[in-house]
Amino acid sequence: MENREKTTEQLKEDLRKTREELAIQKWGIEKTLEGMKVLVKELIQKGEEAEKAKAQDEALLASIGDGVIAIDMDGRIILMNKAAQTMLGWHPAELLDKSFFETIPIEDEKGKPVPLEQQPISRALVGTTTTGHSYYYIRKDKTKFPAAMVATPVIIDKKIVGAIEVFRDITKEKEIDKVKTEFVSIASHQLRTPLIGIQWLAELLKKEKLTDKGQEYLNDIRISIQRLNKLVELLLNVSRLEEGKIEISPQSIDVVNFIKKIVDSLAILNSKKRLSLTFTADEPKIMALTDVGALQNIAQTILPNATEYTPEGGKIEVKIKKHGRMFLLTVSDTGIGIPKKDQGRMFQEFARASNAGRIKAAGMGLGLWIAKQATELLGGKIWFESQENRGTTFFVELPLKSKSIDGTKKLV
Amino acid sequence: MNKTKIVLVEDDEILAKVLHEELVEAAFEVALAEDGEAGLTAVRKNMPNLVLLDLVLPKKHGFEVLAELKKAPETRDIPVIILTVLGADEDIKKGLELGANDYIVKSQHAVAEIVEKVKDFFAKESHPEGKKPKVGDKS
Repeated sequence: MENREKTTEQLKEDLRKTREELAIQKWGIEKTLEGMKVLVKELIQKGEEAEKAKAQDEALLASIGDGVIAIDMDGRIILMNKAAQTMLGWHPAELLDKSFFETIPIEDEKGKPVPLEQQPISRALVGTTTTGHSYYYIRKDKTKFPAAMVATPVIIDKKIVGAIEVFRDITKEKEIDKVKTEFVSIASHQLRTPLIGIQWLAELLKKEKLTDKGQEYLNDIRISIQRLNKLVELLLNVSRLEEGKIEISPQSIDVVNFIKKIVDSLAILNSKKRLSLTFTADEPKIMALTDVGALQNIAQTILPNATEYTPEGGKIEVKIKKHGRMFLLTVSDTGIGIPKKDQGRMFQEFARASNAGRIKAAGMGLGLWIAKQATELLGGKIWFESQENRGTTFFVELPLKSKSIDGTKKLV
Repeated sequence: MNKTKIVLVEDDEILAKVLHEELVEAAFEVALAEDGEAGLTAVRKNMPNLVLLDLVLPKKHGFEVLAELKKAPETRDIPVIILTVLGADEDIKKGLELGANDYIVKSQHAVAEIVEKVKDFFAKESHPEGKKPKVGDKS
């Protein structure tokens, strides 16, 4: 007999073993299944969290009051929040994936379209964070509004992949600014009338019989009036410059004579402070076509400033040179100078050097701002070199022939 | 001899007082009005040789007064000099366009200068352009 036939015992044993293996495998499968269930649960959970986060981001974006627009490297709009839609009047479906530059035009204050390379969002695409605050967005219905915008590049793994711009409708702010400027203009206009009254009365008083003391007080009143006049003129010019419609009407004048007259008017003050003043021009007469009001505002700031901020016994040099199509006026002094940390902002409105208070306790800080505006209106340049406690030199370069500019107001 | 008559329309009482006194001292006869409507009435009543017209006036703006004076045939030929507070203004251009003969910027002149300007105006009036007597001219 052969061993082909297993005994019942052996078969039972095989069955038992198979059943064991099956149980083990079943167990293995169940474990894997459980593991998979956990995995699926985690995936579902992650999915829900991502959805939640996305919903949160969208809610955040939607609730931001400012407009947010994101574009990719090709200038296509990939994101636009609710505020942006409302302000621009477009539905996102109409704009997503379209070119930003073709659908949302930007104009400057004069109504001219802003060239692509100058738009803040374009500059952000090449890596420069840019702010713009005198631009206007054109809405879908072709109306426009002034906007303050900040555009930044989006960088992932050190590469620029797009740009985001955040912007705000500043119609209200502009309105307030305009009202403020108008107020200053009206106020300075109104202040003039009683000022004229005082001036005229002082003039008549001079003819009356007064005691010596009386005459002296009268002279002091006249000096005070002059100062008040200057301040009112300053305010008036600032408001006119801010309104931006200054007329430049060039006339032919002898610049040398013009400056000399101003220098002479400071003679008394200069001699009181024992300041030596030299005035040189490389030609005895230099004719220029320039706006008298503008030139006055420039010279009447830098010349008296030199006298004012130079201590007793100092030196002032005024030079006029002609070169090419321009003429250069330089005023150097051995005065208190402008500290390095203040130099960058001296031409800003209301800027005063930190050491100015030593000499002149209160000043409005408007002179240089006005001088710069006036210089630029004439087509020139103004700059300075200065060292604290050593002195300052102001340079004003102006064209011999300034172009006329249409406007409604002139500088007084 | 009839004095030269001037109607002065100026709403600021101090400026009006000073101008009035100095012009009277310079031998002019001066009627004063302190707002636009009173100014029109004063000109129609007095038919002066000259109107000195301030611009910012109560009741009627100087430009309106000027326009009305130039529209009516009786007052059309009365010369008007406008008085402004500030020089180099669009006001001056507008005033001249509306028919003002000349302008005076109050803030740029002493009273005496203004009186001189008025005197000069009348001096020029009696020697209209082209007929200035020359030395040796027998006509």
